[in-house]
Amino acid sequence: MDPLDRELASLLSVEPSPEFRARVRVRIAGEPAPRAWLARWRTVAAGVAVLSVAAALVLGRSQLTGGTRRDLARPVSSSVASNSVASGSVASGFSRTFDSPFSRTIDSPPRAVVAAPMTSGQETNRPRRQRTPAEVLVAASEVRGLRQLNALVREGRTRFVFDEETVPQEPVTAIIVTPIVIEPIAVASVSEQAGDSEGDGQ
Amino acid sequence: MHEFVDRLAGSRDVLSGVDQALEQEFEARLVESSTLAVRVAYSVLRCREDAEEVAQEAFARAYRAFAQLRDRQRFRAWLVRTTWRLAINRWRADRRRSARETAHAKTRRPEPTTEETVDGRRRAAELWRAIDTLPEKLRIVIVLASIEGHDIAEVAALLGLPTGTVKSRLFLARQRLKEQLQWTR
Repeated sequence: MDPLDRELASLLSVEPSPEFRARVRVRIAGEPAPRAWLARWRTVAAGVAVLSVAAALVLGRSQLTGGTRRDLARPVSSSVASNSVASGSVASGFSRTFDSPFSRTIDSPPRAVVAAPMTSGQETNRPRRQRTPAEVLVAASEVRGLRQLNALVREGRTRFVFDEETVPQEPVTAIIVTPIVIEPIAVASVSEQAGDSEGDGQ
Repeated sequence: MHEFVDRLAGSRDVLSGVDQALEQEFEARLVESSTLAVRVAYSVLRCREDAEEVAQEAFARAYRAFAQLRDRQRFRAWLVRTTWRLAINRWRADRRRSARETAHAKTRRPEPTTEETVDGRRRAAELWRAIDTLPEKLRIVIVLASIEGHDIAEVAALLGLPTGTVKSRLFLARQRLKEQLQWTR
């Protein structure tokens, strides 16, 4: 035997005192007795808790995916129509000047392309956990037209002419204000008016 | 109605019978594991009275949770870990260990043998100091391996560790102790 092991065994060879077990028995006499059914009940309660949490998770997830499917099943045309205000503003801004804020966003992929119309067949092929589709701000057809127009302008095949250039502008002349002449009002004398009224009475 | 009362009384008898069986099993565990618990606590505290108090507390906790600790191996592993943790907590709470070491040096071996000499005591003191320098994870392994002749598999089962981990930790612990102790070379 190794001297180290021998010394270690010697160091730790302490024995409990004879009254040790008696003291433990006295100590546990005040404790509630261990009950097998209590452990079983705890296990059952823990299992029920885990199951209820799992059921809540599954139900919550199914409701979430159901809502997403309803959103996806809604026709895209309605969402485009709901954003007609935004489309109108784009159109009006574009007719005014091409250097509108929207001209910068044309190079980036338009959102309408991201939210392309989705058929029911595509929907079923997608995974269940799907994010809410991107909101449509500009109709796809409008974006397509804007992109084509942008390409034409860049290639120089089309030139924009502002409305101000086409309308001939007249030179500004001085405004002549004619003086207003007010004629004095002729007022009859008071005695003549009184005589007239007496004669009428006779 | 009488039938229901009889059935209830019968179930009570069954339950009390189960509880009595539990009590008997615990008594058996207490008899076979008290030395182990006291020695584990003693390896940390170096004082038999303190070690017995800690072991007593560990047994009380084991009694409360005994419905889940009926398996023998599980009970011993749980007892070792709980006793070790309680002893470490107590040791940390009371750092006046050096004073206790000298005060209880006599209680460690109440009946010294003729072989025990001054040199032996010096060796023991050196060994305790060397053990103190070990990290906890190495210390528990070498202590358990030295108690009751546990082999590596038994130590692994008590600590809930893989056998390879216990083997390497035991090797490291021995190596570090031998580096510090001249007389082991």
